[in-house]
Amino acid sequence: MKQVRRGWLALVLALFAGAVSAHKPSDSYLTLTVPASGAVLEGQWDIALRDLDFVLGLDTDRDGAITWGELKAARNRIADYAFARLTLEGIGRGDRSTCRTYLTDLLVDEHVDGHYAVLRFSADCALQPVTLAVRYQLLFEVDPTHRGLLDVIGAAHQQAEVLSKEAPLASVNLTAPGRWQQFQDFVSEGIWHILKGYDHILFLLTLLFPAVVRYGPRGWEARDSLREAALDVLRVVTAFTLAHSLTLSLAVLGLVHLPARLVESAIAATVLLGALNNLRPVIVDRRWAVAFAFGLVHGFGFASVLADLGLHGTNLVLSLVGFNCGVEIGQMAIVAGVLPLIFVMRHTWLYRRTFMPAGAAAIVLLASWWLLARVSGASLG
Amino acid sequence: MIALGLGILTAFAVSATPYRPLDDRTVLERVPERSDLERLAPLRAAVAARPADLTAALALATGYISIGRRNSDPRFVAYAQATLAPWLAQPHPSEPVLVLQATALQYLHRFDAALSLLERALALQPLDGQAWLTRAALLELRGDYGAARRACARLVRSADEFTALTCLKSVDGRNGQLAASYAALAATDLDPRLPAALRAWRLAVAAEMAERLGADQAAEAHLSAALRAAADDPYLKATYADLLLRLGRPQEVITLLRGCEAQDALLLRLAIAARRLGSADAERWAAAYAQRIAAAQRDGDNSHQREQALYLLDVRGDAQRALQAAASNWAVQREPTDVRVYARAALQAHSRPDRAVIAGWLAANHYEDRTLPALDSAGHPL
Repeated sequence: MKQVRRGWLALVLALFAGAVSAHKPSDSYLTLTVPASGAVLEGQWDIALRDLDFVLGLDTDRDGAITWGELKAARNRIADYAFARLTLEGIGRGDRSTCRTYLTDLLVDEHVDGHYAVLRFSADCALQPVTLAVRYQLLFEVDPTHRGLLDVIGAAHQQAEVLSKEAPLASVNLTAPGRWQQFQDFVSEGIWHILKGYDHILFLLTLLFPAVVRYGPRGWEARDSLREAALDVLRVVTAFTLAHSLTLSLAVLGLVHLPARLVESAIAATVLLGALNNLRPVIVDRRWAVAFAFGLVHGFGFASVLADLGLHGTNLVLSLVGFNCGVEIGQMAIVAGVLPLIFVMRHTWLYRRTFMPAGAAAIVLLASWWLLARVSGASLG
Repeated sequence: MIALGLGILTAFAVSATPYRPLDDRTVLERVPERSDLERLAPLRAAVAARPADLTAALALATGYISIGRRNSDPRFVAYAQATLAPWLAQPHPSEPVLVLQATALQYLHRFDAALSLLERALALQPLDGQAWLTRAALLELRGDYGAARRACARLVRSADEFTALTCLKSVDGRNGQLAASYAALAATDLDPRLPAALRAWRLAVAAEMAERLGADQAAEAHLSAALRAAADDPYLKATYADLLLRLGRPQEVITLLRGCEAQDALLLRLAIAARRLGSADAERWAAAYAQRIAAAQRDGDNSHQREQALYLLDVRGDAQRALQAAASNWAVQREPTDVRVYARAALQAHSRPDRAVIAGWLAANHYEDRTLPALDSAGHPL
């Protein structure tokens, strides 16, 4: 055997590097709170102690442990290092000025990958900024993969940015989107949700289909007047709306909380029971009561969507009302599209003898499958 | 999607309110690499003082990569990249700079970029053993066994017989000659004067082959010998833990890995073992792992698909999503662990197309692994 060369062997095991997943890379968390009026921003900057130790040597007694005492002793060095690598510039109307940053407090916090120094600071921009320009350069000289997760909290809205060596600049427009704009956003979220939420649509349809017919001894028979059918629809849709608005509000306000899987399973069960009722009607005249009872369940389903959109205290009522309006608009669109169609078709043998039973059976099958999948926790993709 | 959203919400939720410790002696953070850093301090000073000193820069970058690997901490790989950056920015970077940068990129799972740097390095110096070995490892990991074998063969001249033999047999063992390759490695005695890292590498390769041959006892013996040679190595620990889990010995996994919670891959194995044992730590470890993954994914890091698949399959019991992760991992890497998790996920999720993909790949490469479940529709063992 030839002499083994040792120079590069230190890295032989590094060949397996692909096999071992790593920690998340280094991040800092920078939050800037901009007041509704005034020139002074409040900031909080969480920087990993391990990062600070590498550049500043926090562990002064070199025992492999960073203590609170060692961190406090490095307070000024940390502030000098960090604020030399963060430039905030307030841009007002026709004027701009660099904000003067100064540390107000040093604390500690724990994140998923260890402890962080928490730098509380103020930034005096000398003018009320309309736009805030951020230039972030922390750690880039030693760690080109480091990132700054910036969160700017304005009086009315919030903006998040990821800052990196390749993209160290962020410009945040502080003029808030108007309340009307936010309201519209939530209305369109509501419309969008009902239109793509096939389980809600299917439930609504199972309630709509019987509205133009009447169950008699010979099965489904056509109703005569459009007025009668429309009133029936109105009762059902109103009951459904009242019910889901109620539970949606309760859930969003945090008064009631149900596990998502339970809610999703229960929604599937409502579709199943609704369709079964069209197949073998048990409740004929009081379908509005069914709509109300089951609507309570669907409201909890809407609430989880709204929670995913992220809400901030002040806008809660606004967004709740907006989202609900959106859901109603979507619902009305479905009713307006379906009702004339089935009203025209109501006399046909096809509608009463084929579509009513076969459609209901198909929905029963589909809803059973959902119920099974949701109860067992399997994902449908 | 929703689960991811919830995961992210909980990841934010753990960040409690900032506080002021009462006692100056409160330990906030351990720095496991303190002594390594102390050893590198003179090199760090040398690089700072003499930016034109290539030898010092290379030694420092090598030191950083070793620390990063031992602690599974990508920070140090980034420090290595920063050390190499001025040299890479030159119009004609020298070959050792390219090779080290390739090693760093490989660690970050940027395999294509690593391979192209290695190609540049080998164009400059066709006798660079480290470049050939790294290239062979990357090609083997991807399942490109023909090209990997050719790279191993170049090690006879550019490195030494021991390295070349281990490399070649490792590739052949995944490419139709498992029993013969294992016999060839097992027949040669390990010279105790060889560097520990090299012995650990040879033993890890032998263990992997023994396990695929169904010789679990031999595999375990090789792995414990490898761990004696390179005690802190996270790859060896993860591999040993996987073997123990497969053999139904989760308690030993806890003994092996307790205290390694800081390393994601090992934390995951702890969570799986605790779950099998029904132990009280199961939820805590699983939640901690989920939080780290959520934080990494929020940062756009998607290099954890293998661990994500294992997590979804063995902790969450969600075969469908595990299959998605295993399939996207399959597009990137095809090590024995990747083959196993993909096969298990495809089977549990009842995915005929994925089973066909794996069965086709196994047949085309004559890849053998007796631990794999039967995959073809007739249920024949493969």
